[in-house]
Amino acid sequence: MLSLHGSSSVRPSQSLAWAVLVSLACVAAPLRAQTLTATVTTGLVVDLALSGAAEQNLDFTRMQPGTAKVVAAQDVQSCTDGCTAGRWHFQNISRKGSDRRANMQFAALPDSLVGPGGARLGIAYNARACVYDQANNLSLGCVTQASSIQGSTVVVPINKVAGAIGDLTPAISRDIYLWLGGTASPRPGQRAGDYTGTVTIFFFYN
Amino acid sequence: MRPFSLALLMLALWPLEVRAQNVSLYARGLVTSTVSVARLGDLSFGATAIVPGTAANIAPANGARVRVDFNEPTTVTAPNFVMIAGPAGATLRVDLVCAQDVSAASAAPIAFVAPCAGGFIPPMAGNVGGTHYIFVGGTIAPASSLSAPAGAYAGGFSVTATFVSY
Repeated sequence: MLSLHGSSSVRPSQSLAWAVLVSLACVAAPLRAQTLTATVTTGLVVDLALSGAAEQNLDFTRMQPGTAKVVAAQDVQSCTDGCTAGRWHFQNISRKGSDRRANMQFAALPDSLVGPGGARLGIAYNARACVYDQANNLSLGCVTQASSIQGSTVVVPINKVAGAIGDLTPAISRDIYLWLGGTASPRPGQRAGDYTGTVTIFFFYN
Repeated sequence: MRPFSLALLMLALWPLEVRAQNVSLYARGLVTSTVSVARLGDLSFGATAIVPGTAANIAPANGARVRVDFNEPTTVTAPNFVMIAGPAGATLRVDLVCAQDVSAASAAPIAFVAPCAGGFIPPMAGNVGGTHYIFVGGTIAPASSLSAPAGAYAGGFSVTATFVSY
């Protein structure tokens, strides 16, 4: 039987146990009282639990049949299209060295939105992830994915790997924003009405 | 406190570490309505005068023609009859007959199931709308023209498309 997290202990030999006893007996009677003080520094990074939330839906707003509509996946500072890109916010990104990449995988990314009577509206997506120093409202870098499809993953390198974003010392608290934009392509004569679909992101480290 | 108990307590108080998450949002878009109605031809009883007390009839295929472009379910209606005006304030009733077809040049358009005012909804297939043609013929009953003063009569009616505006 195999154990993934095996543990073991070693029982001290009897001779060693006696040696320790003798040594203790010898120092049991100090010559005089004294106080020794040592300052020990210790460091520990405690990661808060990852927290992810969808903050804004991707909205192509109003479209004319036969005219494509583009919504850019871009950060708040540069949005020029009413900021209608979809937006996720992941807080408390891991600072563990073993977590080398933050991955945002499109677990569900429909290639068309469904409207009245089951009519479908074709969609192509792009995505952009940016790492933020939330305390200072400072963008530390971004990763852009030109075309996103079902199952594809936006990979953000973190924690002392090549190209790591926001990899500062001492480690700061980082957030990741993920923006989802795209192009909706209504056909000429596309059926009028409201079209919707659900996009799901699976966030994980590796 | 025994170490084992302490470990249990720490496990109980330590927040469960979340390292992976699924988070969803919606993608949405609104396609606007593009519905139009255009007159292609009028309903005319021709240059030959109608003899009072006799019927006059124009089949839909030879009557008024209207083109309807649509991208959503649209109900197209016309009135069941129209009163047209003649000399000295005289009026003449024309009963309308409606038909439809996908071809503008149809010689035998399909009659509305209901009277003109009951309307017709051009069918939609798949993701897109299309174009349909409405044909409107007319009938003048003998009784209507029996006492009508001689002269030219004219009037108008509307063909209406009703739809939900997006």
